[in-house]
Amino acid sequence: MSYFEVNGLQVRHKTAEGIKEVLNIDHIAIEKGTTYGIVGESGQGKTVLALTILKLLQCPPGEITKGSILLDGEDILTYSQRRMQASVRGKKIAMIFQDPMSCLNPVFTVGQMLDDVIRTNRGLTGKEALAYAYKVLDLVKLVDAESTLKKYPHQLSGGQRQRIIIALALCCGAGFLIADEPTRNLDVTIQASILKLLKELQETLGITVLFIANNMSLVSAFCDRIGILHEGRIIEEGETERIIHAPDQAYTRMLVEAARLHTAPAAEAETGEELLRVEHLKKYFDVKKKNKKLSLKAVDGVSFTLNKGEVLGIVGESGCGKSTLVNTILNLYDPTAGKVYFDGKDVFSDERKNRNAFKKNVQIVFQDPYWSLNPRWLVKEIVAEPLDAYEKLRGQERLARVGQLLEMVGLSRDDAYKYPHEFSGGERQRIAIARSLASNPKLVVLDEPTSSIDVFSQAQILELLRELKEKFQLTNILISHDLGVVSQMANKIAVMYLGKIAEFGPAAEVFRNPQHPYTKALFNAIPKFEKLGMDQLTTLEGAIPSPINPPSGCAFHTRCAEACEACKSWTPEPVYLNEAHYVSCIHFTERQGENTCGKR
Amino acid sequence: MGKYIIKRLLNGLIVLLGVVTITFFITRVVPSDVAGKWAGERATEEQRQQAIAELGLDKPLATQYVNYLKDLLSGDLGRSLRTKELITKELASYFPATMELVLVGFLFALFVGIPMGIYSAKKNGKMLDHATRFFSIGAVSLPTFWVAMVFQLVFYRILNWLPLGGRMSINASLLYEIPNVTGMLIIDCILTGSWELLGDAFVHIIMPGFTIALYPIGLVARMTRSALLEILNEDYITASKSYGIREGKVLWRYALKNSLGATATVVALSMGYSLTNTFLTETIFSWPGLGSYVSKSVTTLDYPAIMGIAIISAIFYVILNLIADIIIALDPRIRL
Amino acid sequence: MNQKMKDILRPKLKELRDMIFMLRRNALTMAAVIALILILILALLAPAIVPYPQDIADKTNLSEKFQAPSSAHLFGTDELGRDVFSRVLYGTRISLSTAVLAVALSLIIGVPLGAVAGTFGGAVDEIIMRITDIFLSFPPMLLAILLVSMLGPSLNNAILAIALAWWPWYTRIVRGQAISLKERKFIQAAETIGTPKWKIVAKHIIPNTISPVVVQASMDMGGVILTIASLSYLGLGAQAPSPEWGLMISTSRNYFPDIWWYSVFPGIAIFITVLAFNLLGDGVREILDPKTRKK
Repeated sequence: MSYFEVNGLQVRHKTAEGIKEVLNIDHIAIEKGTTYGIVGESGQGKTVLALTILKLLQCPPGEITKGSILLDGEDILTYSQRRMQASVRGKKIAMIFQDPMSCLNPVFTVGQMLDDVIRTNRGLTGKEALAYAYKVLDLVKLVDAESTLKKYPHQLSGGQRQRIIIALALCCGAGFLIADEPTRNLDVTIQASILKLLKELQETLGITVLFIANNMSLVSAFCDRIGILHEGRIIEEGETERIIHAPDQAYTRMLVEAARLHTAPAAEAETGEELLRVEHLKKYFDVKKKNKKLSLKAVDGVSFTLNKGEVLGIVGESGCGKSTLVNTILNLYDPTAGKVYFDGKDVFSDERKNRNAFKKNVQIVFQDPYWSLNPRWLVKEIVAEPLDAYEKLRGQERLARVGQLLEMVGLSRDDAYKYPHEFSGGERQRIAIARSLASNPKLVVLDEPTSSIDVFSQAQILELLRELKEKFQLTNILISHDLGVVSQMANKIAVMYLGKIAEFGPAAEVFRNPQHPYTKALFNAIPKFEKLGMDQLTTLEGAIPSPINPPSGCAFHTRCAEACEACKSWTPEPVYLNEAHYVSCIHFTERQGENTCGKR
Repeated sequence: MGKYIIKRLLNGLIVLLGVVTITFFITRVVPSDVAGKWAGERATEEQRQQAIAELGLDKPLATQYVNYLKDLLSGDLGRSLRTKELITKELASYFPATMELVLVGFLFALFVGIPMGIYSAKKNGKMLDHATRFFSIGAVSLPTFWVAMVFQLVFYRILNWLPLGGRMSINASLLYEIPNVTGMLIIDCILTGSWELLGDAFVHIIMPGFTIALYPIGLVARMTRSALLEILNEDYITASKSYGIREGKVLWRYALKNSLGATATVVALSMGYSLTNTFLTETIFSWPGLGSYVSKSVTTLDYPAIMGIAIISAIFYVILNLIADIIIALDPRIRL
Repeated sequence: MNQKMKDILRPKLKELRDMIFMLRRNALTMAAVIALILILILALLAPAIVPYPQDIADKTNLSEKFQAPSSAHLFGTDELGRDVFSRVLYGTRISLSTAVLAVALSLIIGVPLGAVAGTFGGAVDEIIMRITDIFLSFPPMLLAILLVSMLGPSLNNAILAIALAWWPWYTRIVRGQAISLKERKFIQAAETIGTPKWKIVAKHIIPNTISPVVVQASMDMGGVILTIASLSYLGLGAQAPSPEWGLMISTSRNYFPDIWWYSVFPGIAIFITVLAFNLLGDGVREILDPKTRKK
């Protein structure tokens, strides 16, 4: 018998549509001291499983119809709530929750929370409890424990909060840990350090971990065994190595593919003449802090050119300014400084004709198709919105054009008479794409086009986007935090850090051989399938500095492994490695005499 | 913290100024013969003109407004058209009795409404929850003036357990010396140690007090329940449970602290409703408070008195909101 | 029904079906819905079904005054010998119609102001919201009492006063809605598409604010009915011989407690009507609240 087992577990949900089966798990077994990964997309029942194990699932609407959950041979599913609380929760099983902001009680300090948990599970009070809290904070590598204890959750950074969540779970002293997407919504670099920490703790403390994730790559690096959860069932299960390299199920294969980095990305498109030129673009926002007026430098001097037919992928951690950059180019924000030329014409000029032509020729597809379509409009109105703005089509003619657009994105003409909520996420995104194409644009901006839809639709949408790009000779700008997606679409890459471009170049070159220390760190923070285990991951220490008061010199020097004295004062200029590839790092400058690091 | 309170205080002053301005202009815009009332029904035209001059009604509207504000700042609300008395003085004599009732409502809201809401949230979906929910919604659906009458019917007429109205029985008022410190009889009795009178006063306040308390109990119970339910659904509550912390502790220590702000706001709001309800019920219980004064002023269209009541109610309400704001500010998320 | 109508109705029908499902799980709310439907029917049919239609006005029949409840007069008779049952039943009509009028009037004032404040922001927003704050810092009933006592007592003035006291609540809701809508991506999409601003307000923002406002308004009906009755009770609302509930209770006080039925039955009518609206409102709020709905 294994340390932890789930047998024949069935959980149902009562909703307006009737009774829905959310979990139907035949068998999961986890040996003591090992790590087991559950991979599944959102809505497949991952969190339900975690909550069911702890008997914290809300019933109703949930209902556990049958099955058993064995921990050390005892069926904890038969325990009463009181017994669960007294002898299982915290004592034997602890959980790391996914969203640290909503899982930390906002009106208590970190110290108070830790104290409560330690008091309950360890029976320690006062000084002893405090000493124990320090010990745990040290384990999760939180620097400056003393001040952290006095802080409220909203005063901490995302990474710190996640460490607190881990500390709280560790305080319980349970031998079995459920980690429910512990790095979701964290930037990749921070994600890597949290993952490394968890692995280290798991090994030194000898705990058993059930790791739940929506992404194959994280689990593959972390876990000994993997189970694939799809529509509430474990459809495939086995050793990590085997699942990654020889999956049985098509769905598993898709999950693996979606997470794979395509180091030989999309074929080099033949590129035409220049379409978009951005020169020294800056966008500062005024912020008020303690009555002082400061500016948040969201975009701080960005220049690049984009030729017809190219796909530019912009990557970087959240807050790096990639969305602001695009919104400023699109004229949704007034620029602070700089110029943007589209087809050779200044788009910020006051000439109405230029502006209108630009608006017609540049369209955007947003991240979440649920929020980007007006829920009260029929699809035909949604898709025709750009038509109404530019072409005065009426009646049948307008309808025919809408039908044509819908068919182009793989929907049917009849869908024109439906509302957005009648479609799935992927279909909604198709509607958004149809709308973006209605005015025959030359440039389409894709803002995280696949991040809120399931893997299956994700692959299809990417395929559709590639197809449409070929067919209409579109130029794309693609913003994504998912390097896998970018690697599949882009043929040029811009890596942004704190409002500046750190590295810019052909996608193949950048992916295969990243030059800037930040690009390297970013790429190495993602687990690859070629080599399993955690050692491959490099981590960046510290949080991203605030763009209100960015570090002097090279903004990256505070977290850069290769930083030297000079980086603190020298602001790096772009250095061209070849005609299309530049890096902003002083290690690449010609003035090597002044380079005190001695590297290169 | 200090800065935040000053900011809220300023906000309250702006609200008061707005109330004064609006009531002032409405009374001046509405066509009514204020001077005629002041001079009396059988006044000659000459007397009427004199009254206009006396009341300053011949001056331009702006001047009247400025003068009114000036008087207000020195605590002068003018004279009642009905009694010709200083309104400030009249309000001061009526206010304590009303305050006594409002306080009873407050205590009930605090010690019955809140626990009821918590209990209801704890038993969410169970029979007891439905019962308390029904009670609390019922309590806010009752016309107070009717409740007052039904209570009198049942507890005075049929059962004869409680006195019909008034603050004390006639015998007691003749037998004992009536203390006057705060103007709130029960508190004064306790302060001066008039124990015999206290019993009598207590019996007299039961019916009016409970009538007034019904609305705050219902409102507070209902809002406490929904605020708590919302919080009990939050992820951090699930997290706390997952660390093995006792259900009771989660409810009393965690959820309650989280819902403090919402509860404080609704208690303050319910006090406002209590005040309004005293206006409707005091005459029924012959309770010598602001409510009786209001109904007399309203039926005789005594504008200066009505404005006075508006202003004193506004002040009362602004103070309540200020207290609620300070309690809300205890939440560390509010940046001060 | 043509295709287009069907298409427009389909999602509404689905919403309705979901709603009914949620309602059915909540017995209290369901009871309230049934009660309201009955009350509505009674109000509509009142002139036709009351046993003594001529008693609605001030017909006097002193020989029958102050009769206790009997099979001829279910709720007894009043000081002029009028049938209290007929008058209470007819009062339903008055209460419902005045409440609807008062709420509609406050919507007419409140919704456009909120939409303007939320959409334009800046100084316009600041001014509108300051005024709103002043009104909101009063319990609506108190404000209505003050307003109507200044405007002069009559049912029309009572309706006006209630509307003047109530609109800020809708302004606040609509403003909040408009502001959150502005952040929605479809508004940004419309901007990048080049849809003109007025069209964004008229076609994107306003249609999306209507349903929460309507829900709120129907939830407020109970409070408004209570306020009207209270104003009438104080002599500030309906005037004799109107069979308005609050007014009837007010008149009955002269004969209380001996002629108890004259006071008790109109009060029960107020209570049942207001309770049904409040129960419905509470239930609907629970159903619509995404937080309690989440899990």
